[in-house]
Amino acid sequence: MESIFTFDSLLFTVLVKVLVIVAFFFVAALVVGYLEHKVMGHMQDRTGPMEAGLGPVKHGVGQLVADGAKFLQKEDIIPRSADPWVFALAPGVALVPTLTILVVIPFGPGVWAENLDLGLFFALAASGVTVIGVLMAGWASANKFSLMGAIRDAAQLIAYELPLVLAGAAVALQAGTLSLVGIVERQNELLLFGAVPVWYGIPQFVGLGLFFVAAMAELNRPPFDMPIADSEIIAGHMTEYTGLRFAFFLLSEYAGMVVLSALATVLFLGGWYPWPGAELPDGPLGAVIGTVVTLAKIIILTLLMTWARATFPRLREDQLQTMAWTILIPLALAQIVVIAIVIVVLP
Amino acid sequence: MSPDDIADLFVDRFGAQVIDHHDVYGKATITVAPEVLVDAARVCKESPELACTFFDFMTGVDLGDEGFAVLTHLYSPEHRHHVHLRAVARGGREDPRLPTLTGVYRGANWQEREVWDMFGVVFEGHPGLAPRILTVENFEGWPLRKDFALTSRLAKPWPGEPQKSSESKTGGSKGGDGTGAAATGGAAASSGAAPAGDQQQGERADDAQGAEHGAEQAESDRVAKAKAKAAEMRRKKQAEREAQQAQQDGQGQQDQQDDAPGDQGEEGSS
Amino acid sequence: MSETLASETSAGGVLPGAPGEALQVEVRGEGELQTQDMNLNVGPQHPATHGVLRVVIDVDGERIVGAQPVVGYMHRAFEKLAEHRDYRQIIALVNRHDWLSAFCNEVGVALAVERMMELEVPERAQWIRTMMCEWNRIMNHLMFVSSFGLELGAITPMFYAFREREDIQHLMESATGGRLHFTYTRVGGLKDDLPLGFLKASEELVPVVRRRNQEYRDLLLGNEIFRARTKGIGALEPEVALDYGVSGPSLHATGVAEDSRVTEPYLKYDEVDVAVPVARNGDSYDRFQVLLDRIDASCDIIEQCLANLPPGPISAKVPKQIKAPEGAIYVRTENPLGQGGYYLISDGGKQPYRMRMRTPSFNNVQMIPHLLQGELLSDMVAIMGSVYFVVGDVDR
Repeated sequence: MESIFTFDSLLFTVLVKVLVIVAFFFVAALVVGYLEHKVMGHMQDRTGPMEAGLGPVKHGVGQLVADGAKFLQKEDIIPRSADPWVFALAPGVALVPTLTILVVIPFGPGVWAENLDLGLFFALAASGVTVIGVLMAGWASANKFSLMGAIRDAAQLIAYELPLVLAGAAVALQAGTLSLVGIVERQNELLLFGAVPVWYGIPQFVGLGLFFVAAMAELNRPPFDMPIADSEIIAGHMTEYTGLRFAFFLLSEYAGMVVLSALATVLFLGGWYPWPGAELPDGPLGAVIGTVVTLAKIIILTLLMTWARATFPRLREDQLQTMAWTILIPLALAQIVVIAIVIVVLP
Repeated sequence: MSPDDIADLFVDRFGAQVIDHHDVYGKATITVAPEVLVDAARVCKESPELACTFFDFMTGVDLGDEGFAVLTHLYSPEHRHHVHLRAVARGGREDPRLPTLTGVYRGANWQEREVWDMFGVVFEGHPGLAPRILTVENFEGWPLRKDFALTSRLAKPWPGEPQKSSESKTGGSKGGDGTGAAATGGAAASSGAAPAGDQQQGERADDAQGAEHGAEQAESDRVAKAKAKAAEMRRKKQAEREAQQAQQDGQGQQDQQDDAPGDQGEEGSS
Repeated sequence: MSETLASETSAGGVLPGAPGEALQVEVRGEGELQTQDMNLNVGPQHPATHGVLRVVIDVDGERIVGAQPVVGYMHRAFEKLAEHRDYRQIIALVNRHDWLSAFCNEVGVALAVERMMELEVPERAQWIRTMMCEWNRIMNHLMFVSSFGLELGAITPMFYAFREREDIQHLMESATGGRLHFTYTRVGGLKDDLPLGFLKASEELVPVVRRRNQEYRDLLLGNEIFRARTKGIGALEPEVALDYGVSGPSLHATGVAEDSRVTEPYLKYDEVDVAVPVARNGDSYDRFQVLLDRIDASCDIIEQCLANLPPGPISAKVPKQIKAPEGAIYVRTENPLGQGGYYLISDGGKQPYRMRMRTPSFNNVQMIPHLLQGELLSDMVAIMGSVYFVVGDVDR
């Protein structure tokens, strides 16, 4: 199937795709951020933002827009002993790779930018580039706390890339393709024990758990937010940042939540199909239904991440590493072995 | 053990070195000579009858002409009795010294630092009395000594207290303090404590003369002198600050000049 | 307090001071794998240090090699000020050094003066004082329950605990007029009697606090991550604790049940059952558990007070100018943070000659370097958050 954003003129196609992706990136981050404010607020027995509104609608919907405007008008401060170029570029290096992952993620039948044959590979590779941005920020800030945060983050991201990749690899193994669109469509055809249609999340529930936990660690979400632990190292690599650059770091966290949840949806939760084995009508109606279904699943996953944030204290760095290297990675490897055997043995 | 028994134990051990003992509301207070202070503390801690393993606190007391006394409170959780171990520092007011108890109790470390900071009593053998624990590192003077005046009470009497003739009038209005101090106001309030402490030490000699004039006259003399000295210190500090500023980019200097007349009103409340 | 240059300690060590100072580095190892210890200033402005406490630490990577707390940023010269205040003004002064246990401090001073004057405080006043002390204790402990969770990353208990604190503060405000600094005690009794409806509101609030205390147990004590962060961290031996003069939850967690309410009962503590929760290991987990248990124990005491409150006057007859007779006295009370005491020397006047405030946090904070030796940086937060202290109490 072709992407719905295909037009005759290549330039126009590319332009539309880029605009749609960037727009979705920002809007999704805003929506998820708003949900986190309100949901976490209610979990903590308070209401969250109520005053800031957009037009007639209040209840804090305009809070993040106001925050963005506030960050825009802040003074751009670069510490005197900081490395100016590295310092200035770090937020971009942390943000842009997350943006590029959106290129390959399918939201509905035909609703994607590119259907790369190497879709999953590209997505996971791009998600690893953000480490560099963090290290750049931590080093260039000329601040001991930033440096400690950056080193912690680098170690954490390296450790948790592996379960992420291995869980994804198990899915690719079962689907037989690395293309994300192909994975979704193969998922829809999966029949457990030849009879019950299920998504990959059921036979690979271990992989789903691993992917989700590793995603939270990749994004520095609690309980894995030791690198930006604000009771210890102030804000880690983001300590010296203000204004728009700081906003970019925050944006990369919320947008990252959306992107990795989208990946999890596509890999384990059936993508755009409302239930296992469903058939969507052709044409625009199917695309709309599929997109809505995908967005709903993404929001549920981000709500889970918010729930985890409100509940758990943070893991210490060495406990985090221990968990990754001695529990998660062996589990992921074992899962790959099991899946490989199952695929060969069962038809 | 009752306070009397505790006192007897000490007298048995140390004999004439126990200078005094009495029962203060059920707690034994033993005054010993400074030479045996460490041994007495060790006896408190290690002897099974006393077993005072809990180091409660240490305080200094300004005894006026006799110098300074340092009182250590020890407690025994097992026997539930208290011992106040007291010693008057050698050297009177000029150079009070006592041996340190940090070899016996770890908790004595900070407590002795505080007594040194507040009274100036030097504890021989202490691992590190400086930097000053509670006041600023470059603070001058020993705050809790009785001759270290509380400058806010010098400048203005307690609100509601009956005015005591001319002395308080000059205290109330800062105009009489002129002598250029007003023009160089600056951030004088925060430096009030340090220079006052400075001049208090030099003023002990002046106090003796003031006593001849009678109590009230001495008060007003001291107050006037304190204010003059304070004004002088303020002026000196302001000059230093301006010199520094002149070396750097003089952007703040304008502000300082503008601030000066406005500060006059604030000084009365410092 | 102006930031100053590094000063030489008499042992030869240098305490780094002003920003822009040269890094203190200790270079270890030889050859190409040299490592340097990093000298880090935690505070005085830091989200985790409960106020303006500064800890200068040497870290080797993430491991703390040496720590030195620098206190005095909040020194307000209370002891000097107390020498210039009469006994009624002092009550408003001693509210403020440990502002989280304001009422308990007031009671300590009032007791000291009353004992010196041999005043007989009416029964009702004593019972009310006991009850208020216990409410204050619950408020104090709730604060540390929430802040300890927050420092470890659990952001939700803070909101829950402050919900309770709000209810209790509302209750206290109805009686005393203050939410934090009560100034309710007077020498000889209390300022005013309790308002109508106070006792009923108290009775209704106690089960609520108890029920929510169970929520904290479930949310924090039962949490795997919390246990992993706090069990075995910062274990304190009882002998060392006693040597430093540590008291309160930190001491009880090591197993020593030293509590002035039991050993030298004051107010009405000899007529109520006072439970003193203790734990065995003295680590951060135990200190936190003791805190939660103390909240339950305080709820019990409040219920007993409510049951036993007699009618009567709330203040003894005292002269207008209160003058303590000549002499010295030391009165110690079990404040929420530990053992607080006032050593009062009076020369017969209306102002004390010397008032030494024995504050629990001063001794507790002195112990921190001993606990921090060899721990990781993340554990530093777990340890400092669990050695409960208020910086105003340390510096006075």
